[in-house]
Amino acid sequence: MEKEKTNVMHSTDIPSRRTSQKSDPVLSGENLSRQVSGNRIWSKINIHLNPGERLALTGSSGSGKSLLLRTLAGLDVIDSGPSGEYGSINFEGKSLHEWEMPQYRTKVSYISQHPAFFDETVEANFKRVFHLKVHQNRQYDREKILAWLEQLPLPAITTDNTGGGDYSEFLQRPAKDLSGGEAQIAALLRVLQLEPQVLLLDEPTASQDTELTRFSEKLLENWQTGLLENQPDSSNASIQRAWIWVSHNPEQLRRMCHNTFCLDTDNGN
Amino acid sequence: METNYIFLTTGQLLIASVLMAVNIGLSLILKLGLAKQWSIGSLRMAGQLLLVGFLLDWVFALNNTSWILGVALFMTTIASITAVGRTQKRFSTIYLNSFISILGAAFFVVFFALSGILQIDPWYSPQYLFPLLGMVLGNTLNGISLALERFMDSLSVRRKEVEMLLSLGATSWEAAHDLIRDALRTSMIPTLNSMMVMGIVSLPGMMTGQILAGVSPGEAVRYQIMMIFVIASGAALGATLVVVLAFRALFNSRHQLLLKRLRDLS
Repeated sequence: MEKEKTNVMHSTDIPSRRTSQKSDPVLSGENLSRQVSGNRIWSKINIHLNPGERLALTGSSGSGKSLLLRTLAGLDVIDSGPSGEYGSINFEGKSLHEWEMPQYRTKVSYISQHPAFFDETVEANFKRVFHLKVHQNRQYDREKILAWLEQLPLPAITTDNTGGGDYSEFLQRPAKDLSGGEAQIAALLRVLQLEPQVLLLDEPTASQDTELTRFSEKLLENWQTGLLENQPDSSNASIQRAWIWVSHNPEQLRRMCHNTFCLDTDNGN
Repeated sequence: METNYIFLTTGQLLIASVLMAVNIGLSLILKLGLAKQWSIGSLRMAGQLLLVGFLLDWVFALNNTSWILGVALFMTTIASITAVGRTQKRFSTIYLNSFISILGAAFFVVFFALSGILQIDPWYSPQYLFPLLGMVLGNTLNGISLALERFMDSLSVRRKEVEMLLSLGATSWEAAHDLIRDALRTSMIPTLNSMMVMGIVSLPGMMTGQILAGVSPGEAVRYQIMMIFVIASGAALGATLVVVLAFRALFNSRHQLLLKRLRDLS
């Protein structure tokens, strides 16, 4: 089953369950190449993400999955290909060059596997984001975040595991005291409050146990379907939300993604 | 002014050099392994200074504008190379950036002191220019190398933090702001500390020199106070310039951190 879903590299005709093939992808990378210290990691990749699509990005260790996510997030310079040509990235019909990068990155958000935090409470970390110029017209909304958390199945990130769960306690915790798995959840919340269109998730549950993983998956699921804001309406714009998900767990990718893009060359499959 | 000034003869210098026998002797007795370095160091120091004295005597006597400014520029170049030499990382324009910063900062404050405060005509009169420039360069060099080292180091150490901010929509300036501030504070604190204890813990060299040359201590401290203002401002300006230039070299207009432009020595 997994094999069926795996498209070969360079494929441009990734089927999507929700959108017709003719619809324009929300995010696309054409002819992307990457080398690190002289070694070609990947060459001339074409990757398309349709509105509402949940795309799994797979490949063996060292195949450059994180590098591809970073490139799509505009964090890395686009390398030239083997014959010297440069690839391009398009988002919402506009080339990356036409986007202001801060604007672009709040719409196409990269979430690192090992998120960084400032040495202050979780909530102060959330608030701090709104000091950036690009977010000056938005405001931190504690109630919104608490409401999101209360939809979720488990009080897994609270110290009180008896059932009730006081999520405001979680917000008051020093970020440095969070476990790796809790930090990954905090990083998700930090990004989700900025209402991104596309999430580039780099092993978002790698440091989490089963419980926390279920928690994160539900959170992301609710974000993608619009349930997070109580608007589970498929005509709603929120359904256009899409992600590219890197994981080493095939079960998770089967649960969370429709389609697969594999970075390994053909013999690798 | 030169009434009670004692000229040092070569013989007297040789007597002074006997003191180095103490260092070399200590090194031999305690097996510090520094005897050879002490000898080389002493010879180098004496050689370099005699050469500089000779060169400056010559420039003073020549009193030719191009030569004066040429030597000043040469000193600045050496200072900018030395400032980079003390850091552990490199990027392609680091020497140019160091040169621009030290030139901009040192010439601004030295020109201000010579023509604005001392009102010397012409401002590049060598008797004033070289002592001032020398002191300013030495301190600006320190400021620049401290700031540069700290900024480059924290870019690699705190890379995750910088890229986290970038991916949340920060401009490169917003993402690097804390690091820039940190680098500038690091570079300014030694100057500030030495200012605090000036005259109590240390008697500065220029003042000491003037007193030895017969100037009354009350007069000498006035020069020293002016000089410390000039030095402090040169070091702060130079550090700021070099960090801003390094920031521009290590980020691009697409708000990307170009860490691969930064390489470790060795």
